[in-house]
Amino acid sequence: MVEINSFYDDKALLKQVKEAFSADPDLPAVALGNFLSDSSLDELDRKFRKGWKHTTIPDRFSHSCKKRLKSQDAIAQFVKKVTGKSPLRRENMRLSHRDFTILHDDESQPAGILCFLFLDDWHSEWGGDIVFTKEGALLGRFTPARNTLLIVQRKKRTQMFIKYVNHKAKKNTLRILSA
Amino acid sequence: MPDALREWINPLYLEPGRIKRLSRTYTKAKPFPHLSLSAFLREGKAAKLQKALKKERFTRKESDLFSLEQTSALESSKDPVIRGFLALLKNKEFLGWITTITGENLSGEVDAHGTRYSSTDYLLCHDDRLEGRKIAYILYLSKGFTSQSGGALALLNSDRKDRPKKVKKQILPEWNAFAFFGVTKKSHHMVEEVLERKERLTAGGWFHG
Repeated sequence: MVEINSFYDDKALLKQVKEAFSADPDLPAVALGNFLSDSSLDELDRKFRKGWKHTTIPDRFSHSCKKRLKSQDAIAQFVKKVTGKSPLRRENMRLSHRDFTILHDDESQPAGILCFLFLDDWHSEWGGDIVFTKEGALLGRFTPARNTLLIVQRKKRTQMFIKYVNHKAKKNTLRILSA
Repeated sequence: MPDALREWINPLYLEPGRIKRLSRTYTKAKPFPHLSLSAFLREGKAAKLQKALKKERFTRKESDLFSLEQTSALESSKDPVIRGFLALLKNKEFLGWITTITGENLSGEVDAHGTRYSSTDYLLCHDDRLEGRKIAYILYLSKGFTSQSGGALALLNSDRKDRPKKVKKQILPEWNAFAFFGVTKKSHHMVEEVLERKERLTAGGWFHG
């Protein structure tokens, strides 16, 4: 199991996290920095260096995937403590220059809890922001940061995409683990 | 040929024999019918149009699909050069010239706007289909783009279900080139990211049918 930093066990802090998560009724969301212990982060960093499989469907997405590890269950359990619901399961993703996801009118994204654990330092000007929209209007935009867990409740008709990663990212990669 | 066409367009492209050859080239082009014509406008006209377009107000637009700057519809411009260019696009003889090459009957309704891509800007893969659009066109008004600069118009082939597969042709944004293609379920294309500190300026839009 991955080890979550012990201060997230503190009841008062957990209460604050729950309040922050519920603050925006349209897009409940909270970003938790310094989420994993250093040793756990280092371990995931090593395990997710290789073994990614890249796929491009030009009008839908371009990114790499890798199956989740059993040890990621601890993230799901924590997310359930915050939101009261189990997060939707997704494959882990890696994006680099020229990767993206595109929204599709003919594909509604399921409502539910999403979580993203970022393994890499990142800058918004590289692209790669996680963006939520509803019927064309921007609901929220999150810039990835290393060892931050982003929890978002995607409601009906809300859609998510990841902004195209541009050449300013150079050789940097953005690894996003799911729960 | 009427004066408006002779005033704006490189006369080489108005010779009857040339038009027939262009039509054959357009139809046979892969991965879908298209054409890109170098030195399309008379040089003086292209330079004046570039100058006029640069004076228009551009608004930054961001979505999952693109990052770019665009003018409002050029129809609203008061600039005489831009109005002259729009008049050319709607000119009956010019529409007839496009029809002869593409085989598409056009209504005379034409959309036009200016678009500017700077470093890191792009337009991801799409097919342009929207009611009424028959022919997409782009007039390139930037200088100095090379294959290393990015900003190419990339055309993709399709699978049996008309889904985009791979980039099969790249059209560099060459100064004063005029590119156009038929809008169909196979016309998958994109504008590749601009990789250098250059501005890719175009006037473009659609001829409707």
